[in-house]
Formats: sequence, structure tokens, C-alpha cells
Amino acid sequence: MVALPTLARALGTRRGRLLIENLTAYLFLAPAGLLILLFGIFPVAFAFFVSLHRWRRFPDEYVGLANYEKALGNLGYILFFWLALIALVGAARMGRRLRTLLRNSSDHRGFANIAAGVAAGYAALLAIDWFFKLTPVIMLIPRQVRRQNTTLSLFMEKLGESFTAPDVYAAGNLMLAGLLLAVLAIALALWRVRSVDSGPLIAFSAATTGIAGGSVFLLQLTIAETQAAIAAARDTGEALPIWSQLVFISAGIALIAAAWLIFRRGIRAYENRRFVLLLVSGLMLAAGGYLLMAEAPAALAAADDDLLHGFWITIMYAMGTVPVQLSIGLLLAYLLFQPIRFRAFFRMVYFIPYITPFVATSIVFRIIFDAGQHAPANRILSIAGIEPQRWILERSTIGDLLGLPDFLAGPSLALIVIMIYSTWTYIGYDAVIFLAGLGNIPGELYEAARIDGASGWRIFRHITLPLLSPTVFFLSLVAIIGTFQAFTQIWILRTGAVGNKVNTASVYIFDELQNSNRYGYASSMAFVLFALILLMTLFQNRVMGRRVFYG
Amino acid sequence: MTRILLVFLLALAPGLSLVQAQGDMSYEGVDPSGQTVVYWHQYSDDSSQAETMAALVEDFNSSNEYGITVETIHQGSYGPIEDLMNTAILSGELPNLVAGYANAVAGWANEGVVVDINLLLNSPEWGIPPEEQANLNFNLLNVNQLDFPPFYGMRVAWANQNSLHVFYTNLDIVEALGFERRPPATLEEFEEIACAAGASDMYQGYPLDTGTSHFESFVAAHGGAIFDGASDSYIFESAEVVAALELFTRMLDNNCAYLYAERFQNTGDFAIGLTPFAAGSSAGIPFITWDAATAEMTDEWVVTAFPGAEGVGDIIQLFVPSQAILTGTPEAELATWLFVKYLAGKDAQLAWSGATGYFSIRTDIQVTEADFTEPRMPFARFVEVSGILGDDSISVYSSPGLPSYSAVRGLVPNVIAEVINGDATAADALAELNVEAAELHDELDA
Amino acid sequence: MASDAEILSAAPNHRQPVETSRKEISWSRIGIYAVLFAGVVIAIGPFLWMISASFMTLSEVNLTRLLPENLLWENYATALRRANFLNIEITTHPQTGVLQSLSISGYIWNSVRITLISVLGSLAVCIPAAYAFARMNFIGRNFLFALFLSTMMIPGIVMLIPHLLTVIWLGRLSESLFGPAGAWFNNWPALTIPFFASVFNIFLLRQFFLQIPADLWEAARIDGAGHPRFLISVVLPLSKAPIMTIVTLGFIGSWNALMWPLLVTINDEWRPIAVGLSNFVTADTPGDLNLQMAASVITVIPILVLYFLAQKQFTEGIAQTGIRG
Repeated sequence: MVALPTLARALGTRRGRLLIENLTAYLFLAPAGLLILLFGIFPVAFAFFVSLHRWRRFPDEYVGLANYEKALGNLGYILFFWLALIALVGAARMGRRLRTLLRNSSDHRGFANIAAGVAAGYAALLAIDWFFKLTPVIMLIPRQVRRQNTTLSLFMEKLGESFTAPDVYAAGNLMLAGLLLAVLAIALALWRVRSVDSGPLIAFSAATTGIAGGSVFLLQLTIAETQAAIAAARDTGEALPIWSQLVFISAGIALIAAAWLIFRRGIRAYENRRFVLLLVSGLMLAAGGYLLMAEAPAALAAADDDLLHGFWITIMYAMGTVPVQLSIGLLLAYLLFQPIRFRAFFRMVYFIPYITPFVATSIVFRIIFDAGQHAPANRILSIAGIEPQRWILERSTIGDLLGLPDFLAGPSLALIVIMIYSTWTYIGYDAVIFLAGLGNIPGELYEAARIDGASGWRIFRHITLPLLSPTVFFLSLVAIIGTFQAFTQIWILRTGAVGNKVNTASVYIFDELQNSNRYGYASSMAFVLFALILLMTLFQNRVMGRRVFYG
Repeated sequence: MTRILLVFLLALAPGLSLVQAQGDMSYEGVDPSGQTVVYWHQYSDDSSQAETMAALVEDFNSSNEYGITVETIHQGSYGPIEDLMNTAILSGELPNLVAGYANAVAGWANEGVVVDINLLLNSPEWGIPPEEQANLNFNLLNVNQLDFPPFYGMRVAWANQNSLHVFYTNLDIVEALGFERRPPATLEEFEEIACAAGASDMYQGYPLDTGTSHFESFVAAHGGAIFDGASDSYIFESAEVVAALELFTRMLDNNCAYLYAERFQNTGDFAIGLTPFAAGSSAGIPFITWDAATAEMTDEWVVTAFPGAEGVGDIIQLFVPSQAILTGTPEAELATWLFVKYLAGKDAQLAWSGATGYFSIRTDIQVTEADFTEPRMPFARFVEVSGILGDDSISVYSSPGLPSYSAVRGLVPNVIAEVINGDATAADALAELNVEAAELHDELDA
Repeated sequence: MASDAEILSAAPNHRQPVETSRKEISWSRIGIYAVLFAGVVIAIGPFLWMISASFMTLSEVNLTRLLPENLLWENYATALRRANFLNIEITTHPQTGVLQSLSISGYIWNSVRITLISVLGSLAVCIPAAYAFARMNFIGRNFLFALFLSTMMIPGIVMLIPHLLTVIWLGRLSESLFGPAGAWFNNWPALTIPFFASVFNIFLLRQFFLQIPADLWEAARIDGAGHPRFLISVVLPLSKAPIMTIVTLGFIGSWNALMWPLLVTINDEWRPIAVGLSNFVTADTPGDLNLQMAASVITVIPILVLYFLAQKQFTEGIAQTGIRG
């Protein structure tokens, strides 16, 4: 009772208000944060855990990187090396920032802060370790209580059992000890050497420790797995040149990256210097390309052909839909932007395909592109005097159908139908966003151009398009990521007759989940897909992002 | 520390596998009173199967002395049921009785969710007494008795709707094409007639699809099989399988056959007199009859076994979709069995067989024309098909009851599609398939 | 206080380029309209034919006629019944005619319930979170926002199995607490709760909340209002447009959802309409295409009605997410 007025006074201060603001904010965030933790962040960690196991519906044995090896051959190991190295580099960069932070710190006893941070980071690693041991045990509870009526006491009993399972228990104790140590160290640091820099120093050193620990773990895992794979291969009398492949492929990629950097400097330089730089860049590109061409097929030799085929289909699907859908969307938006009547009506109608369910619209598309003579698509062909095609049932590539040589094969006709369907679905969405982007371009610019006597096309080319580039960038990023994740529209239009000719990577992964129940393997492939999407996003940000005119 | 992490991760592995101990379960003294039995079936609404099953369930619900209630849920065809079972096994929200083929049920049994029906069948208190068991057709029932490891004689399911993969011939078309008015005697003759149909203006060749069961019938017609029990391995690279696939390719290339798009379009085209032949489940006869009547097709057609290749003789593939009892409480399992036992009774079998045209699992009943109430199927057809099953000169084929078969089955259409499209030769593609199938066999059937 | 419209006008609007004179338009304008109308035909042609085909006989559909000879309204009755879309059983007292019980079931009813729960839940979860990100200062704000945004990049297929296992686990826990009614699997929680915290919604709302003038907050604070009151009495009334966008998007999302509900429902108690339609289309009986079309039309109509009602705010909202990227 006595404490209340004191509390009220304490909360009335600036510090107190800040505390309340912080607490309110966390309270506001709590539901969303909890749900995102449960359904956004935990799943990724758990899927990674699954991918390290043989796991069919229920967990089986730990297999290390075997699933990745199965998916990508030796490249699986190489990718993990890179991942570990990237994490190491990240940790090192954070360490450097930590050093600058320390140097600029007014406090000479900053090391206590760092020690506290390291302890906290270590405790976090121990907590992750504990978590990874606890989760699979806890996940088994539903199965254990299956033949009994679920009651609270039974559930709690099982929960208690999972916490005291030998491995989990040991890791839990270790974690508790680590946490205790970290709390003590932080308290000590804050109490003895408190300064303005304490917070950032502790946070930074903790994060550095965590990332460094994670990268060392990854590196060790990868090395151990690679050694094991090489030893296993040696037993059967084969040589597994993972190490040399790692070196050559890394060198190849490094050379190409360096060539790109030199090329960019070269085109800006003058005369002789320019010639030399471009020559060097060209040579490096050739060398890097040669290394990749020579080594990549060998590294991928043991990869899952169906997965690689899936990626190839995905790439064709992306190339066939994204540019078409963006250009038609832009065209429609540009026309809508002209002074016309019924703009709202057009905009509304174009958007309809985007909002209607695939299940419903796919039925119509199935009929339009049916193999029969009466199918609308075939009727249109017959007007042009072309024989009826089998459309969604046609595995043959357009190259085959047109009698082109093999290397021009391209996608199967069935995939093209799916591309048309997908394009049809998304054009309206693109057009609406382009329209908004067009609306953001200041009208004065057009006016000025018109006064200068510029024609329609030139205005479009030199004013509209550059100023629209952020929208183009955004839409192409969304569309490409979308094609790599595309699933329902393909799954729903595919037929048995075309086999795997329309199976993009995501469809193949889903098949492995649903038909073969290989959860571990499917998870590892899903991660490969994830890595690819991340890589593309980064690449697009780097390469395209620079060309975007932000005005 | 990271090393510790690794070691721990490795040490964790054995702890993860959890064995579902069922042991020597006994149902003596268990009380099934008041249980509710959830039954997932695949009989589409408005079908005579669904109606008959509903009538039988109603009769059981009102007449059984224990107050057991059966609730039926139509869950689509076998594919969707298998998909649903995947998540049901994960979640534990299992039905009590579920429809499925032996191979699918074997996969579920691997996860420990299937009850060994032998325990119930032979239970002194609840089972079927030996003298009555003598009236059951164990040729049909034993398709679900898995005699290989890890099942060791477990009876994973109970057959309840046996049908055949039969061969349809339109005699009028065969005659019109200039051949003798009878079904083809051999596979070679079949090909010849189909080619003549394909070359004619009036008709199309044989309607072909890339489905696995359909393909297996053609493999069997060549005297082969896709799995060899003796060597415990898939034999996709065997000469008979290659020959069957080459037959497909050849017929398509020579316009003797065509690939159809919509489900059941093969029998649909047959029913409107477009093709001389079609193949399909005998359960589809009502649909053909109905389609033919709607299209006013008056040609005479017959149902037979598959013509075998020269020297092989006729073959017939048996489809034995069954019902598996899934683990629940012992009371629920027992109550489910009592329903299954009721369905195996004389009256229920007579009603079921008479109304649906499926063959009975009992040998002591005879469906007469008076019992036969399936309105869309002439009784003569039922007799015709029953005759195939009773003919000892016809060799019987059924697909392997292995858990891996579900996954392998999914791979076959793609291989067929690849080969008929000319992307690979039959021998190469099948050899590759055999490697994949062997892998699945190792992984899933252990 | 700024009105709704003023806030909206702060958002970018379509400005017109300079009007061209009447004479030079004629041909180019005809061209523009021709292209735009072609676009209309392509965009809604399939729907128009879907409606037309839903009134046809089966053989008319098979021959892909453009229009039916007679309008077969009974296709709709048959489709509704066969596809189990909506069953309403009203029992009245035999003598008095007083309503005794009313039971509604079927996929449409399920989808309506699921949609309501997920839209309301999403609003309840996303609004405070977006508000916190937009208008409050707290430690770790940028880090948390970046973390939230980064989860948008993860492909759904990575999360499928963990989601399934998590939902099953939480369901068991909740069942042990609340009895069978607390189940998650094959019940509304599995179908809705994972979608409550939509990062997209949080992002959209935050963008809008950021535009609300700071003066309003200062004024409210002087009046003694805290964040919760400010959010409820000032921010929310101003945010009809983005909320409308979220509601529409949420409606579309849960009405169209197919793969996830396919995994977590095992009977018709909570199965939503897209799954119902998919089941109907792939059912074992030979395809009655005309009935499938009727069922599709029934599925699509609620979406279209909502879209027509909300389309102005909705397309604006969508457009804004795009230009801000």
C-alpha cells in the first residue's frame, strides 16, 4: 500500500513514461509477435531440424546433410560451406563494428560489457541447443496420447516427461547455468561500469557470439559430414572430390564476381585503362565460366534429376510469365491513364481474375484448352487452318511441335497453358499497381515535355518509364518470387498425361511430401528453394535496384 | 561447444523413434456398448453403393444389441482418402473404419494405426466361429493378409467390394471392321482390330491412359508382373513390362490408340459407340449401360477378361478395395469389428452384392435375379462378370500389397508418358524406374 | 480533426496528363478503347461463359456452345444439393408454426464462419501491432519490424510440415484444457489462427498510420488520452479505407484457401467452400460439367459481390502497397 504513491511518482517521471510506452508497445505487439514466432519463425528452425533427419510422417534417424546431398549431390556440401563462411564473415564484420564501438566508447572498462554480452550470446546458443532437443520430444506427445482420452493431467505428465528426458534434461541444466551466468554478468556490468554505451556493447557482443557460434557449428557439421561422405566413398573404392570441387567452384564464382566489378570500373574509365580493364574482366569471366562449366556438372552428378528438372521448369515458367504479364499490365495501365471514360469500370473488371479462386476459374480453362475438337482453343486454331492440339494434355514442347532443333525445345504445351492461365490471373493486379505508379508522376513533367514538342512514344520512353522504374522493380520482384512459390495454379491444372513436364520445384516438393511422405527430404529441398529465392532477391536488389530511378 | 551440440544431436536420434507396441491384444471381456464408429468411405453420393451402404448402416444402427452407432462420411475417391489419412495419422484424429487398398493399408499399418483383424476374426467371444469361416471366400480375403515382414501374417483389412478390371468389346463395331463377331482372342488380334478402327472414318482406336492399374493389366496380359515375390523386388525391367509399354507406344504411334483426357472418358467413348474396345473396373458397368442408353447406342457389347498375348491365355486383374479397422480404444475397435462382421453376414452380403454388383465374400450365397436390384445394370451383365471370376482357366493378377506400391504407383504414369512421347525408350525408362522403385522398396517396406 | 477524405487525399491520386484537343483524338482513342475492351473480354469472358454454361445441358457444355438453348435453373438446385454447399433445416412446430430449430450446414456456411473469425481475429491482432510500429517508440522496434517483414519471404512449402505439427500439438494442449471443443485440428482454430498475424496487413496498416498527422496525437495527449484511447477513438475512425482493404483481402484469402484447409480438415463440419468445390469437381462420378459450372458460379458470387461493394478502397489499398514497395 505504501508502495503505490512511490510507484505513481516513479511512473510520472520521463523515465517512467518511457517505461510505460515500452510496456504498452510490447503489449500491443504481443499477440502478433507470439503468432509470428509460432507460425513464422519457429517453423523455419523446425523445418531445418526436420531436414537433417530421415523423417517419414514421424521422425526417424539423424542423417546430417544426407538429404541435401540427395537433392543437390556434392553441391549440397559446398552450399553449406558457403553458408558457414557467410555467417563467419558476418560475425567478423560485427566483431569489427564492436571494436570501433569499443574504441569510441568513453568508458575504459567496456570489456566488462563485452564479457557480459559474450556470456549472454553463449547462453542463447545453449538455449537454442536445448530447444532443438526439447522440440522433437514435445512434438511426439500427440502421438503418445493417441489411444487415450486427452486430459490436462495426462498432457502435463507427458510434458513433464519430455522436460526430464535425459538429453533434454542435461541440455536444460546447461542452459539454465548459462542463463544464470549471463544474467549475473549483465547485472554486474550494468552495476559496476554502467555507461551510455553499455546497451549497444552488450547487444552487439551477444549477437556476435551467437552468430560466430552458429557459423562454427555449421562449419564443423559440414566438415564432419564431408569427411564422412569421402570416407564412405573411399570404402567402395571411389574418389569423392568434394574439396577440389569446392575450391574450383568457389574460385569460378569469385572470378565472375570480380570480372563484373572490374567491368563496371572499366566502362567508366578512359582510353587505355579502359581497354586493359575490359580485357582483364573478359579473361576473368572466361576463366570463371570455364571453371564452373567444368566442375558444376560433376558436383551436381549425384543430384536429384527431378529436382533439377523442377528448377528448369520453374525458370521457364518465370521467363514465360513475368515479362508478358508485366508488359501487358503496363500497356493496359498506360491506356487507362489516358483521358478516357469508364476508367473505374475497366480497372474493376481487370482485377476480377486476381480475386477469384483457382478452383473455379481452372475449370473453365480446362474446357478452353481441352484436347477435343470442340475446345474453344482448338476452334480458334481451326479458323487459322491449324490442326487441333492437345493443350493441357500435351507433353511435347513447342519446339517439337514446330519442328525446331532440340536446344530450342522450350516448355511443353501444357506448361504454356498454365503460363497463360497464370498470366491471365495476375495482369489485373499489375495493371492496378502500374496505374497507381503512373499517378505518382508529376503532371508538370509531361507538360514541359509537350511544350518541348516531344511525341507520345518519346514521352513514354524518356519520362514515364524511368519514373515508373520503382514500380517495375517492385512488381518484377514480387512476380519472380511468386513464380518460384507458385503452386496451386499448377497443381490444379496438371494432368497425369503430361507427367512431370509441368512440375515446378514446389510442385515436386509437395509430391514428395504428400505421396512419398518423405518429410525430411522434402524439407531439405524446400530450403534449397528458399536459398534460391533469397539469392535472387539479393541479386535483383543489387543489379536492378541500382538502375532504378528514385527521382 | 559446437562439438557437444553435434554429439548431442547424434545421440538424440535413437530416442526419436517411438515404437507403437500393440502386443497381444485381447478383446475378451471388452464392452462395445454405446460406441460410435466413424467410417470413411468412397461411395459417391447418389450411387447405388452409397444408398445400399446407408441402408445397411441404418439397419445395423437400429438392430445391434450394443447400441453402436455407425456414422459414414464420404471422403472422395481413394486418392483423397490416402491424403486425408496422412494428416489423420499425424494428428491422431483417425476414423474407426476406412476404405483403402491393401498397399495403402500396409503403409498405415507400418505407422501402427491398423488393427490386426485376425485378432478379432478368431476371438472366441467376438469372432466368426471356424465352421462359419468355412463359408468365407479366403481367396478374396487373403489379399489383405500380409505374409511378409514386418507384418508376419497380419490381416490389415477386410475385403468388401471386389471388382475386376474387365475388357469391353463392341461386337457390332468389330464386325463392321471386317473381323469375326467375337472379342479378340489374343493381344495381337486386339491390336489389329484397334488399328483397323483407328484407320476407319467412323471409329477411333483403343482409348488409352497412363494409369498404373491399366498398365498392369497389360503387363499381366504379356504374362508378367511388376513385382516378383520370390526375389522380393520390383521387376520393371523385365521383358513383359517392356513389351507392354512398347505395345502402348506402337499403338499410339500407328493411330491404333488415343490418349483420353477426362476421367472415365474411355468407357464414355465406348458407350457412345466410338471405340470397339475399352477397359475399366467392372464397377463401371452401370455407367456404361446408362451412357449407352442416353446416347441411344444399340450395338451389342460384351464383358470379358483381358486377352493375353500369344501363348499366355486370358488374364483378369482383381481389385480388392477393403476396409481397415484403425486403432482407437479397444471398445471402439471391437465395435467397428462388430459392424464389419455384420456386413459379412448372409443377409447383408446378399443385399450388398445384389444392389451393387460386387462379388460376395461368402461362398454360400447365390445372387438371383430377384435379389438383384441395381437398376442401372442388367442382371445378365452381373452373371457375365461373375462368370469371369468363376472361370479357372483365367489367370488372376493383383497388384502388390506393399506400402511402397503407393509411391511406385505414382511414378509409373510419368514413365509411361515419357516413353509414349518419345523422350526415352521403354527399356531405358523402365530400367530407371526400377532403380527408383527398388529404392522406395528398401525405404518403405522395411 | 482531419476527415477521412482529407487523409485519403494525402495519398497519391491519379493525376491526369494534359488534356489533348478534341480533333486529334478520334483514331487513337478508338484504338485505346478497342484494346481496353479486348482486355475486358479476356478478363471476364471465362466468367461469362461459366455463367452461360451453368444453365446448359451436359451435351451443350461438351460441345462448348456459347449460349444455352433453355435456361436450366435446376442445375443450381442440383449443384447446391449434390455439392453440399448449403443445407438449411428449419423445423417449425406442427400446429403453431413457431420456429423450433434452425440448423445451417454446408461449405458456404463453413466458409462464412471461417472468414468472419479470421478477418476479425486478424484485425484484432494486426491493428495494435501496426499501431505500435507506426506511432510508438520502444527498444528493438526496427529490429522487430525487419524480423516480421523477413518472414514474408519464406516459401510456404518450407512451413507446411512444421505448421501442421504445431497445429496438432497446440490442439492437443488446448483439448486437454478445454475438452473436445478446444480441438484445433479439423476445427476453426487450425483454419484461422495461423493467419491472424498477417505481416502484409501489419505493413499496410502501418503505412497508413504513419500518415496520420502528429498534431492529432499531441492534441489527444494534452486531453489526457493514452495510446489505447487514441488508437480507438481517433486512429480507427480515420482508417476505414485500409481496414476495408484488409477485410476484403482477408475475405478473399480465406474464401479461396485450398491447400491448407485440405490438410487440416477431415470432415464436412468445417471444410470451406474451395475444398468443397474441389471435392465436387474431382468426385468419383463422371464429370457433370454443367453442374460443376453452377457450383463454380455459386462459389464466385460472394467474392464478386464483396468486391463490387469494396472495390474503390480495395484497389486503392492494393495500389498503395505497390508504390511503396
